[in-house]
Amino acid sequence: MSLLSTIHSNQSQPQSPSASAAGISLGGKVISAAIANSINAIAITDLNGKHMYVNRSWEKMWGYSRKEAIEMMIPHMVAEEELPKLKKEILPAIMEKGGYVGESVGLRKNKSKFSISFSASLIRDAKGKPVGTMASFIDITELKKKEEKIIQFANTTRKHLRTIIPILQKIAMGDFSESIKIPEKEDEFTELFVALNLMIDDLKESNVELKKNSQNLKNSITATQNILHDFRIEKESLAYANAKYGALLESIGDGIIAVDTDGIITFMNRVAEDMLGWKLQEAIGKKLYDLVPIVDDKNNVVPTVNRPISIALSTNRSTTTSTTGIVYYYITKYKTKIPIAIMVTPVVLDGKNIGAIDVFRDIRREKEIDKAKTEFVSLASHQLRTPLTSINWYIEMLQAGDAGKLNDKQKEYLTEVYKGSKRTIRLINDLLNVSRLETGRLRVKPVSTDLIAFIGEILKEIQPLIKETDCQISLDFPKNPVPKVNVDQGLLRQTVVNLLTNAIHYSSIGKKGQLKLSLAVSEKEYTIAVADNGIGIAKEVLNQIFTKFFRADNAREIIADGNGLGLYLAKQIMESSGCTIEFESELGKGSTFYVKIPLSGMKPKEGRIGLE
Amino acid sequence: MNKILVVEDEAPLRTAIHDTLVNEKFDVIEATNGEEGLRSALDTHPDLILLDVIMPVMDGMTMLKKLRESGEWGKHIPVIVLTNVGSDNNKMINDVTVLEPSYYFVKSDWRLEGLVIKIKELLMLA
Repeated sequence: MSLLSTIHSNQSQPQSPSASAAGISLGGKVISAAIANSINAIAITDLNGKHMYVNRSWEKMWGYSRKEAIEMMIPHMVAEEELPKLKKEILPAIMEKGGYVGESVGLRKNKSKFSISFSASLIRDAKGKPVGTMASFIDITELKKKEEKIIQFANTTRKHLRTIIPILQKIAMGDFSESIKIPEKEDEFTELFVALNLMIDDLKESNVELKKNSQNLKNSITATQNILHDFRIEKESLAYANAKYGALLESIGDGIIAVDTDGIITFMNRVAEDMLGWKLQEAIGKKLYDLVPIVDDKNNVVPTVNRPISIALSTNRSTTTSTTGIVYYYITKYKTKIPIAIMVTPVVLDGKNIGAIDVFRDIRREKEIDKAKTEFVSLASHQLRTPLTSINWYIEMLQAGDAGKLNDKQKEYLTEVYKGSKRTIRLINDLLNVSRLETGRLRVKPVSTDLIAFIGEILKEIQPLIKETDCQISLDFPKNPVPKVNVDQGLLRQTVVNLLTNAIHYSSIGKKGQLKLSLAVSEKEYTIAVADNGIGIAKEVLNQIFTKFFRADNAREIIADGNGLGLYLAKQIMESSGCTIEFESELGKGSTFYVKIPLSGMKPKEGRIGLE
Repeated sequence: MNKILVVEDEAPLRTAIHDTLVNEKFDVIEATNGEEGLRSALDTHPDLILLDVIMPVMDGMTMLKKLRESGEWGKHIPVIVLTNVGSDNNKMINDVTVLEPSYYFVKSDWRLEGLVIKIKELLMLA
C-alpha cells in the first residue's frame, strides 16, 4: 500500500516526487523531477493495471489529464486490436518476467490511435514484493509513418529495380530494343527513368550510328576486297590478253612494225625481224626511215616524205601500196631487196595520233604470179592471133582475086569465114581488155586532146562500117572552139567506138539507121552523146545493160554474134578514169548513150598496160 | 623497083605478105628470124623492112636495136613492126619508144590492103 501512498503523494507534489514514494532513499527528489519532466510519457499502475500516476508527457500523449487518467485501467489506453496482445503477451511478461519492451498502438481520449514504443517493468518494494508497474512510452507514429514510407520506398525501389535491371542488363549487352515504361504515377524514379530512357535513346542512336558506321566500314572492306579480287582477275586476264595479243602479233604472217609519231620503232614482230634481218632489240629506238630504206623499181630511194608511214602520219589516214602498180622494196640489213605491199595505219588513242602501224608483206610470189600471168596473156594473145591473122589474110587474098576470080557463091562463103574470124579476134581482144580492167592493171594516161578532131578520126576509122550499113550520122558540135581536154585516147576511142558500132548495128536492121553524134560542154563536163533510132532497150533489162556478157533478147535476135562485153568494157573504162557513162532508151524507138568527162579531164592512173 | 625485106618466122604469114607485095610489084626479100634479117638488111639495103617481133634465134626488137646501132643507113631505114603481141609487153613498148620504128602494126587488126597502103605512104609512093 505504500506504493499507492507514494504515488498519491507524488501526485500532490508532481514537480518533486518524494523519494520515499519512489522507495528510493538517495536523491529521491531528483529522480521524481526527472520522471515528471521526462520527454517520454511515463505511467505507473497498481498490480491490477489501474493508473496511479502519469507524467506531463503522458497527458500530452493520450489527451487525458492526470486526474482523468487516475483510476483508468491500462486496457482503456490501448487500441482495441492490441488488446489480445496486451492480455496474452505484454501483461503476463511484465508479471512473470518483470518487464516487457515492445510496440503497440495507443488509444487517445479523442479515440485516435497512435503507435507507441514502450518499456514496462514491475515495481517492487524494498522487500522485493511487486507493488505495481511502470511504463515509459515514446510516440512512434511519425517514426512508423517514416518507416512505412521507407519500406514503401524500398519496395518501390525494388519493384523499379526489378523492372529496369533486365533492361539495364540488356543495355549492357548492347541491346537497346527495350525502353523503360514510365509508370503513370510519378515518383522519385520517374525522373530517373525519364533520364534513363533518354540515355537509352541516346545510346540506341549512337549504337545505330555505330552499327551504321560499322556496316559502312564492313561494306567498304567488302567492296575493297571485291575490287582487289576483281583487280586480281583483271590483272590475270590482262596478262592473258597481253600474252594472247603478243602471241597473235607474233603469229601474224605479215611483218608488223610499230612506230611513234617521229617514226621511231617501238615494236617489231618476228616476221618483220625475219624479213628485214634486224632483231627487235637492234631496231627499237631507231628511225624506221634510217633502218629500213625503201627503193622503187628503178632502185631509187624513196624520200622520207613519200614513204607510206610519213603519209599516214601526216594525213592521219591509212596508206597502202599496191601489189600491181608501182612496187616498193624494203632494203634488209643484208642489203637485199624485198618487194613488199605496205599498209600503214595511224594509231589513234583518245583522239590523239600516237604513232602508226606498218603492216607489210613480201609480194615476191605475187610479183611472180603477176609476171607469169602477163606472160601468159601476152603469149596467148600472140598464139591465138597468129593463126587468125593468117586466116584473115588468105581470105583477103582470095577475095581480091589473087588466086583467080571467085564466083558469087565462093565470095559469099568466104565472107562468112571472114566474119567468124573477125569475131574471134574481137572476142580475144575484149577478153584481154576485161582481164586488164579487172586486175586493175589498166593504165590511164591522159594527153591533151581536141575532142572534135578526135571524134572525126574515130568516124574515119569506122567509115567501112558506115558505108556497109548505109546509115546516116548527123553531127552536132559546139560552134565555138572546144578547149583541149586531157583524155587517154586509147580508152576513150574504145568507148566511143563501142557505142557507135552498137548504135549502127542495132539501128540498121531492115531500115536505114539514123544516128546523131554530139559533143556538148557544160560548166561541169564534156558530154559525148551517141543517139540512135534503133531497137531500144526493154525496161526489164535496163539495169543489166552494163553487166558482163549480158545481151538483151531483142539484141540477140538481130545480131547473134555480139559477145556482151562492149558496154561492160565501156563502163569499166569510164569509171576507172573518173568519167561516167549513162543512157536513156525506149523500146522500139532508140537509145542515147552519154559519156561524161569532167572538165579537168580523165584521172591519170599508174598501170602497166593500155587496151588492145 | 622498091625492095622490101620481110622478117617473119611464121611461114603462112610471110608467104601471104610476100605474095601480096609481089602482086603490088615490090621486090621482096624474106628472112625467118632476126639474125638472118639483120644480115640480109645490111647486105641488101632494102628500102623498107617489115619486122615481126617474136621470133626464134633473135627477136625483132633486138634486131631493130642492132640495126639502128649499125650505122647511118640502119639508123634511118623505115621499119614497120608487125606484131600480134599486145601492149602488155612492157619491154616492147619501151623499145618501140626508144627505137622509133616507122610504124607499129597489129597484124590481126589489119587487112593486107591496109599494110600495102601504109608501105606506099612511107615510101612516098601513094
